[in-house]
Amino acid sequence: MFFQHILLAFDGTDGAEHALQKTKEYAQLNKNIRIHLVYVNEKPKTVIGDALITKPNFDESDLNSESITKLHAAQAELEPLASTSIEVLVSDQPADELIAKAAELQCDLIIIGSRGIGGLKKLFLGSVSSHVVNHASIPVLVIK
Amino acid sequence: MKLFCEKILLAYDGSTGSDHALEKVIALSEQNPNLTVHILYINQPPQSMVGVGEAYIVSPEAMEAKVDPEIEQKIAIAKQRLSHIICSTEIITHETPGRKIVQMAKDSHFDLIVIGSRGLGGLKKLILGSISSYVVNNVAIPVLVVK
Repeated sequence: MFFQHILLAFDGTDGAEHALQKTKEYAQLNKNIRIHLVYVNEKPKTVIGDALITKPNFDESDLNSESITKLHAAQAELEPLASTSIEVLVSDQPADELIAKAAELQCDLIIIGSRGIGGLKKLFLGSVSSHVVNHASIPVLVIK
Repeated sequence: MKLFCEKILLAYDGSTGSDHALEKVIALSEQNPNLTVHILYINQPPQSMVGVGEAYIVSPEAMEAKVDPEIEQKIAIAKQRLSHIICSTEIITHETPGRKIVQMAKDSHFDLIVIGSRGLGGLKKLILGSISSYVVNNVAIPVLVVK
């Protein structure tokens, strides 16, 4: 079997939208797959002097409602093709959170978008997919 | 809707990770009989770096280094197992496999790269495991990294 139980990391960015399209294409090929859509909402950070600190108390208002709306829209697109579930996690270590969730759900593949950003931003943002590729113990499909 | 993929570049190096990558490609070929697969093995010149002043160069003899017969056999078996689809194989010698894979993906219009990640720790991982990282970071097409 190629893959049957997929964790799709979905944060609403362009890279994630491309990953969603690829997941749909794969679902066309294989009718019996399960897809978990997971969005990791990063904890907001604040700069105090020279330090970057994580806001201690996370509440509802810190959830990125735009990303969550897109997550539900993504699930609606996949629903006719596969059995789906959805999860929103809160963490300041999104890559580790995705890897742990994939292990917990016994997924056999992680699909993740890689953001098309250059320079300094790439260093910070693209690093989620890089970290997942380097540290996951299961296959990872990186979509550009 | 577009197909999941039609033309795969399988970067094969004989490691456990790349054997698992091969199994995934075979599994996919069973679901998609119209698949085309190109198996690429890049023979890295081993222990061939010669220090010249501050530079390391690859000695000319090493560039013609013989390919491990075990690898050649594994690739032949892989091709046989993919005989139900269009499958080609290629063995080349190149010092920087990552760059070669990226260049080939671009030049030959593949739509998916499948690559194994070597299960090495420490310094070795830093040097060898970086081929898959380099590929992931430098190509414009999807990459499936298999452990």
